[in-house]
Amino acid sequence: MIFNTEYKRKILLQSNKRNLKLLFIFILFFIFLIFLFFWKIQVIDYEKYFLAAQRNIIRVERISPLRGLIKDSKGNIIADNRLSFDLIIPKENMISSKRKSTEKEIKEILNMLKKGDKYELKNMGTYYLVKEDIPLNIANFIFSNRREFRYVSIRVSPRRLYPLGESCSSFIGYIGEANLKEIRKFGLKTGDFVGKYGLERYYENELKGKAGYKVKVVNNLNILERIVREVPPVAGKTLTLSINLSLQKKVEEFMKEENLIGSTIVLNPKNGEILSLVTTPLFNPNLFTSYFSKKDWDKLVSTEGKPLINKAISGLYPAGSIFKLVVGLAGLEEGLINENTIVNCYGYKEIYNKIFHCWNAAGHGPMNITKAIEQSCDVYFYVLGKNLKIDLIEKYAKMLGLGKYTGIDLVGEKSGLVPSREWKFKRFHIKWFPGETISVAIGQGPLLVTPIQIAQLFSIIANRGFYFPPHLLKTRKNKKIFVKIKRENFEKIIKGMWLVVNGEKGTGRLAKLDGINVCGKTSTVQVISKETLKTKVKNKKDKRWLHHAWFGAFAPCESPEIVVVSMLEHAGGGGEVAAPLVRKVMKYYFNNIKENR
Amino acid sequence: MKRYFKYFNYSLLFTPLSITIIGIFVLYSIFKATGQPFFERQIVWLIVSLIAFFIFSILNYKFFLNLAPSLYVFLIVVLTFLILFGKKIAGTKSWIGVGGLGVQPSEFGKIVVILLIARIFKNYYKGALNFIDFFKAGLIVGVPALLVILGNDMGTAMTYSFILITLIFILGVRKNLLIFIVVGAILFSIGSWNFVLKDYQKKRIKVFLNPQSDPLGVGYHTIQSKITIGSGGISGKGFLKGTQKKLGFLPAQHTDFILSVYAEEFGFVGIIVLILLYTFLFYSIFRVAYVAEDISSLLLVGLILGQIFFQFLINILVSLGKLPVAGITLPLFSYGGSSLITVYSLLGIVEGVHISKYSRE
Repeated sequence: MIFNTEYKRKILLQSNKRNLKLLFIFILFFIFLIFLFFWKIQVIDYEKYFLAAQRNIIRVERISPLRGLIKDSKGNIIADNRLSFDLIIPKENMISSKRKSTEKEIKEILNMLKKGDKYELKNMGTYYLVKEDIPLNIANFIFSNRREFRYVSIRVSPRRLYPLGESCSSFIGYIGEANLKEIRKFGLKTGDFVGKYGLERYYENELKGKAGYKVKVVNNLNILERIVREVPPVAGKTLTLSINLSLQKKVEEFMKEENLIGSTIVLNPKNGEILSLVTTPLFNPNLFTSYFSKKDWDKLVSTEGKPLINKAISGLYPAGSIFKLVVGLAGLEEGLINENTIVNCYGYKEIYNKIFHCWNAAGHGPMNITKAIEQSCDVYFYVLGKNLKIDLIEKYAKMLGLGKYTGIDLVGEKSGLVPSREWKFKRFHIKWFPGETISVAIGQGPLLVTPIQIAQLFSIIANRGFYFPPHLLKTRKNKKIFVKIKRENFEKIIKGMWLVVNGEKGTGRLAKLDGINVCGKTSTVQVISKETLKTKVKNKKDKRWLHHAWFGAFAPCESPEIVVVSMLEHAGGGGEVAAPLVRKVMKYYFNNIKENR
Repeated sequence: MKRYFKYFNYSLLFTPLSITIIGIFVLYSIFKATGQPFFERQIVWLIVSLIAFFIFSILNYKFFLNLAPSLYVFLIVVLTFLILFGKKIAGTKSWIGVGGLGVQPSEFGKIVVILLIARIFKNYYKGALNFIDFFKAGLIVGVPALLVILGNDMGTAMTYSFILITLIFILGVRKNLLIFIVVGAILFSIGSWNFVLKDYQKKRIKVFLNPQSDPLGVGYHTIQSKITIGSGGISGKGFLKGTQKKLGFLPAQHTDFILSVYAEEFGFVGIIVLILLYTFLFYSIFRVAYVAEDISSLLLVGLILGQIFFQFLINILVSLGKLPVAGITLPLFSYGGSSLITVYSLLGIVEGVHISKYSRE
């Protein structure tokens, strides 16, 4: 029995040792597994965890830069900056344990703001934006009661301010929150404002400045341990414009007085500097600098006359009679006419078996080039156009800057359209009919121009053969560009333009100034044919059927200092509406600005 | 005494001592970063532990085996007393204050339970465990473990189960009993999910399965521990240079997650060194058990091996994010007086077994 037990004991001890060995193999297996786990996490995935550890402790706080100022040529500020106080919540204060207290504080502040208790949290990366641009006194109250307001924060950031309100909105444009595309294009961050239109957009890279930042090390409670690096922001560049603010304001006033919708451009032909650029109606760009409700936006967009579109550079209009200057120059330069070439006007002309009417049904009688420009005789140019043919008209129009961008420093410029055989075939897949040339010769037909192109055309004529492309930035130096047309031919056209204002039968006599020789050209663009107006339109008094009025001028005639071009939508005759406006502008310029320059 | 040193197994003392000293360096690093003075106290605890080691190795282990039943009764009384009258410290009723330093009888209890199991099964010649004996063992382990659970210390209670697991490992179980245990374990898990586990414990398990679901809450620990370990890379950030530890991203960094702090500063190389030390320690204990001539000493040393190893395994797997946070410290390495004294006492018993075997020859 004892032997038996002893024997059994030995056997069992052996089997227990076998089990023990198994246990130890089991241990070794797990130790091997542990090594593998550490290998994976510390060697293979090292980078991932290293970066995560960095993210744990490093917080980068961005410091918004000041946007560059915009000043007129005299140093008056057109676009400025102000401080804005935004109500924000650091993200860590929205975790479940703090959420309730945070929300209570927000409610309390919204009560003070008296703007209802609805709010939206806008995700801005490291924090949420609750309300933008809260009043100074409330921001102050929150600052000085930090004990009560422990979870909300006030973020102070610069914001755009246009101290002049509506004035200058025509070329300043507006800013807005950057969308994804803009964030990528200009290297911005969510919530940043970016130039959307006008100068603000064109010079975005100059104006935006460079954000600074603070690199902070924080602990697990997000409390600052130390600042590792601090880079101050760099403000955007200040832009000095060629704009003369007092002239700009005056032109705005003139146009607003009479409720005119359209554009007026004043520029210096000697260097291409724009002294004033007004397109009405104006709008207040300050609306765009902080929260902008959809209601306000809709209202602005649906305003008659499209205030948000710069019609001086993107408004496409038929040139009308102003185009006769181009056709006249082409005829003279090509030798098809000279000052003695006479065309008799009987009030109409039959060409290619079709009757083309002159605007003066009674007829102008015998016309030479200067008279034809003075009285804007259509028949003279029908005949000249027929002889020139579309190809030469196209050539000279393009030489004189039509149908292509002027390159003005604004966004959204349109190139207009100078019709040609090629264009017609591409567009309509049919050939050009000679009859079409006749209407193009008086600036009708498919021809489309922008007011800035016309202002440029007038600089070329004023300078007798060269120009500087128009620009707004004072320091922008555009190259002098020559046009291959003889000076004497310009003089012949200018003579006609002088007569427009100063001649007995001139169409723009309302632009005449005492003591200063003004040269100009009117243009009246029908928006609807007389027959259609008579037969198909019910409300004939509707402003929509009124003509577009153009008037372009330069002065003094001998050595021009300014070019003024006015294009007024649905305002009436060019000589009746636009010419007096241009006169007012010129008068103001010569009385008030000239000495000061 | 001469004989004592003649047969002394130095690896059983110096391997754990090196581990504990490395641990003290890590605690010092934590002290430098956060000002928590655990490293000083750990030195005190280490001195006490070494005394315990020598007591347990000098006195014959058979003496303790004989004492086991009365010690067990004493343990039950103390644990019951604690539940009834103990103060809550760190959420558990398992502490007894000793001059400003607290000790946890539940930790020492493991020594008692291991001794009692080894005593009861010393004449176990029946081959693999049968139902009745399994229940006997289950009862011996279960009663104090239940009292520990009532004291709200799930982590320590779990370490009691390692005794049972190791016992099954060494003695083996009959097939039908194994099936019974597996089914029982499953039922127990379901039962404890519904009746025993507190909401925060359930949440730990849920979040463990998907840590990103609550990155700032319960899952935070797991994620931060992995970041801490991973960011150490191959060679580590250098002694005292850990950023995670320093800025307090890692919770319980002196106890449950001390290995992560070590891994951050000493990297994969440091981990290899440390784990090889542990492996050598396990091997040394294993050798003592393997050459044992009677079941009681084999069982005693084997259970001690299992106890230390399973704690080691669970703690590391938690640090690596492979298991939910369990509240089990890394033996010999983590801060904690009771745990340190207990492990050194257990190693003292192993040393005692070793010496008595050779001194007999």
